[in-house]
Amino acid sequence: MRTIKRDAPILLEVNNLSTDFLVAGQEPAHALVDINFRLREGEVLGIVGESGCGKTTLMLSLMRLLPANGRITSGQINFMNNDLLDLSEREMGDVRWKNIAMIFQGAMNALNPVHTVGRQIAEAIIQHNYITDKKAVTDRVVELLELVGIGAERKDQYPHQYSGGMRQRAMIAMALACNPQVVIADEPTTALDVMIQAQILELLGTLRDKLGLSILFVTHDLGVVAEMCDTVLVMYGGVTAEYANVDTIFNAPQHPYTQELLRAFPDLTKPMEKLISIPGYPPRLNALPAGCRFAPRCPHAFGRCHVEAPPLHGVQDRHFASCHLVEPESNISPETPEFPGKSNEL
Amino acid sequence: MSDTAVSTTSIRGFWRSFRRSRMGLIGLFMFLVVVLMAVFAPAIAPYDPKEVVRVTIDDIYAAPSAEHWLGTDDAGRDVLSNFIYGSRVSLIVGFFASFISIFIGSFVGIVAGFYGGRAENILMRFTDIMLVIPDLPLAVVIVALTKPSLWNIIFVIGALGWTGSARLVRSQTLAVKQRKFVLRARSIGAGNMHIIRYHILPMVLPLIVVNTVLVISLAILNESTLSFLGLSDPTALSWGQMLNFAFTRGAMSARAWWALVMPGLGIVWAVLACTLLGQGLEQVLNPRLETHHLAVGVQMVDRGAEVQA
Amino acid sequence: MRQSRYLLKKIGWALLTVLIVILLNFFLFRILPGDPARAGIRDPRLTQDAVAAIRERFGLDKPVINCFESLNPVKFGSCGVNPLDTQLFIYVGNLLQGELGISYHTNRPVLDMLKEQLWNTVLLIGAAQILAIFFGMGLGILAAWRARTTIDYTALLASLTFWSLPTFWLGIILLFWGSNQFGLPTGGKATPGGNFATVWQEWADVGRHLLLPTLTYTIVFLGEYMLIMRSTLLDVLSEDYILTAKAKGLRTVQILKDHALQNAMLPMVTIIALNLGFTVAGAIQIETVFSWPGLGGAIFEAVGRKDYPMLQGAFLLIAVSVIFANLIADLLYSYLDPRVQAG
Repeated sequence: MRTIKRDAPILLEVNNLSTDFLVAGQEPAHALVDINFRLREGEVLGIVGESGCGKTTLMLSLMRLLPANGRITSGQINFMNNDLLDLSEREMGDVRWKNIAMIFQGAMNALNPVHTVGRQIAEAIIQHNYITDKKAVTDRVVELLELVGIGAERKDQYPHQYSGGMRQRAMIAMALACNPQVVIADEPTTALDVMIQAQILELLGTLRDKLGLSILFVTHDLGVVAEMCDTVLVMYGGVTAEYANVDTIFNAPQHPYTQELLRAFPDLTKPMEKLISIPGYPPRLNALPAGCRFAPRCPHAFGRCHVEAPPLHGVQDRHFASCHLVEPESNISPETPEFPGKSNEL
Repeated sequence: MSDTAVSTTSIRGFWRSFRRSRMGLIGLFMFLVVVLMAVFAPAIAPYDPKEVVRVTIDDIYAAPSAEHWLGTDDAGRDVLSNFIYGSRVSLIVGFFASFISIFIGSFVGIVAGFYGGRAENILMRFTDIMLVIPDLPLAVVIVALTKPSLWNIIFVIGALGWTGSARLVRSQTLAVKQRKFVLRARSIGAGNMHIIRYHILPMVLPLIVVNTVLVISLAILNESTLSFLGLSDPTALSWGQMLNFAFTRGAMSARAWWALVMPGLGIVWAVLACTLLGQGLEQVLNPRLETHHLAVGVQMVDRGAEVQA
Repeated sequence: MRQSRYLLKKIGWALLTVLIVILLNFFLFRILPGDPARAGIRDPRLTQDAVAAIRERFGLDKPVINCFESLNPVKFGSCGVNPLDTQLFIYVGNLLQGELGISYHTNRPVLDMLKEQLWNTVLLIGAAQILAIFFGMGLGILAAWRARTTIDYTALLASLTFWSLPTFWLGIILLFWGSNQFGLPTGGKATPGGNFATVWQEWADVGRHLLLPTLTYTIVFLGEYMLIMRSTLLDVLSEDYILTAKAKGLRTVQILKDHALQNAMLPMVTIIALNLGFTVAGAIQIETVFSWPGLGGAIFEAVGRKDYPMLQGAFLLIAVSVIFANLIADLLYSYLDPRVQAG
């Protein structure tokens, strides 16, 4: 049971972030619309949604690694008193990995096949002058590998000599190379088989507790969310569906999409309950419905949902949902939203 | 290589994606021009190259004039007319030789890819060996030892130019073989020939078509090279042969650039036409991503003036 | 362990290919109409004694091989013949001793002539290939990096055009232009009868002769290398590990240098090796146009003079050189790609 201060300092503050993808000869596709969240020190924020909901686009926007046709059209990404969107490309290069590192999905392709794993980890250390002494760099590489449970002797091996799980461990070691303040984990277990998934999650959990990491954890697996996260941002079609503490999300979900996701998620305590999958597919970015993006699949949709996109309502303190069914009860000013942060017990 | 997404059944769909490739369109246009020139050579050419003419010393390497727009060659013949007729041999050799190459290459590729096992091993080893042996010297040796007739040249170029196609078709066949509909056809008891005829071939065919265009361009280049080296059918006037005559019979010292430039431009035109056409077809068949991770885009952060709260 | 097995396998295949080329070389010249046995002996320049000497040296009075009477275009032996007493055996035996015959044209041993010519060709191809690979790859990298921009399209179109140029024609045009405009030499390797005070002047003279052929060669191959580099680099730059490198904060140039190029070099090495055959084809044309005294020119001249021993020897040497260059490329590949070493 972790106990973390409720109001740890805010590390990363994202305000009204919107990203478009430009398509030749067409209207730009609005891949992210007005995303808001806070990440506090030591917090694990889960970003949840089906594939195509903009989770990866959000992560790439944070790192400013969007493909050439991606365009961040509004918002701020405040990190350590700087708006990352104001930095030059060069300054941004210094922030990447040193301050915000990323664990990619599918480490098979995320590691360069022609360099040794050790070299690829050392490269990050040297790039950011984290350590300059050559011997010390090697020691750090060994230390990192051992931290994730890889023997030092394997540092001179190539990625193809590693198993899938080991590659993902190496990827995690690489992400930790410069002691970043924030680690983005983009579906770090998706490509792995179940046993290895459990090991990697356990490793991440241990590292979280040991190093007090702040993690943005992208996943479509609610089980992982329950296990890993403090707060949850549920995304649908590029917008925030619901944003709350993990307990609230699991016990009192307000957005129909969150409710459907939970219904589709097997609850092992009630083995007899029928598993339901959400009918239909997430909207294509070039064919967004008018009104609420979830309306076409929503069991509770009514007339207004198909014409008017719901704003993000504050349901209660630190609980937000964008649904017409959720009218704000308390007078939470949208100007100074108190976003969910750490809770005392999880 | 990605699986072929374009089906051969939808010609309109094919054309719609092909139309987007400017290079492909230019190539198609250039290709049609050569074909029309070859077909209507007698109508276009001002003189008949086979006509018996009386030549005086002034007619040899005569500079371009109203009478001979592109001057005359070492035999006092009209370069423009020879040039127009020359397209015929290039296209004939290009088509027939590439037909032979593509036939052998597809056969070897499909058999090796589909049957696998020992047949594949032997065929691909043989292909690798053929791939390493340099084509042109071997072609020179064979044509030099036999009679350099048009058909000999076609046969030699065709028989030596199939290795690339074989490898390409094999890898595509291997990919198609694993697809669900092939496995399904096999599971309901379809025979090998049936599967090849109705499932493999239609999926491999688009690739073969693209490859054919490129093999034609290689065949045209090879023919012109052999002809330039003096290994051409004396009765079949070709661009390479024109260059051989001009080069070996004093066009350089006579500074008769017209006899040297035009035939070469013809070869470049025809080969470039096929190359561009191939690029266009390739783009339809195997669309590449528009971008990559280092692509230099316009400014990634482009916040409108309004949101700066 | 595994790497040495890979090497042995590659060397084995190279040797087998050489063997096939030798057999091909032997049979082509005996089965096709113009075999040396008949052509050589019909050559009016040869005396009776010389003909007899040739016959004996190459065993031309012997059966071609044994047990092949069913195919009988020339003079095949019957099964009773001792296999050691056939033309094939004598040919291979001579070959192993470096005996490639006597040129009909110069009456000098073919091997001696080929030795000189080989180095001239290596000099020409070497200089031009290095330039073509360097500039072609550079242009390919630029085009791939700036994919779908004007720079890219210009470079692409130029390369496709270069690729479409017949080598010999480009040579002719450059020769015409260079000799008329700049007074560059019209051919050969050195100014005939040239008297040079120093070695440097002699080399400068060779350099002037080398200029146009090298330029021709470079232009023709540059396009091809550019196209290959561009397309492989486009693939590599779309890989996830490039995104990882960028996320690690590496600068663009670092990513290109440390992550993209080595991966892109893998297909490059293979394709450069496969293109060696085209390289030789280019050498034949360029040496013909520029009268460069190399192997390619030798093939052309041997064809014109019906100098079959020379043609046979030159073809064999070219084919074997290409096979070994391929072998070297295979070995280089295993060095560049760690995955090959592991098998």
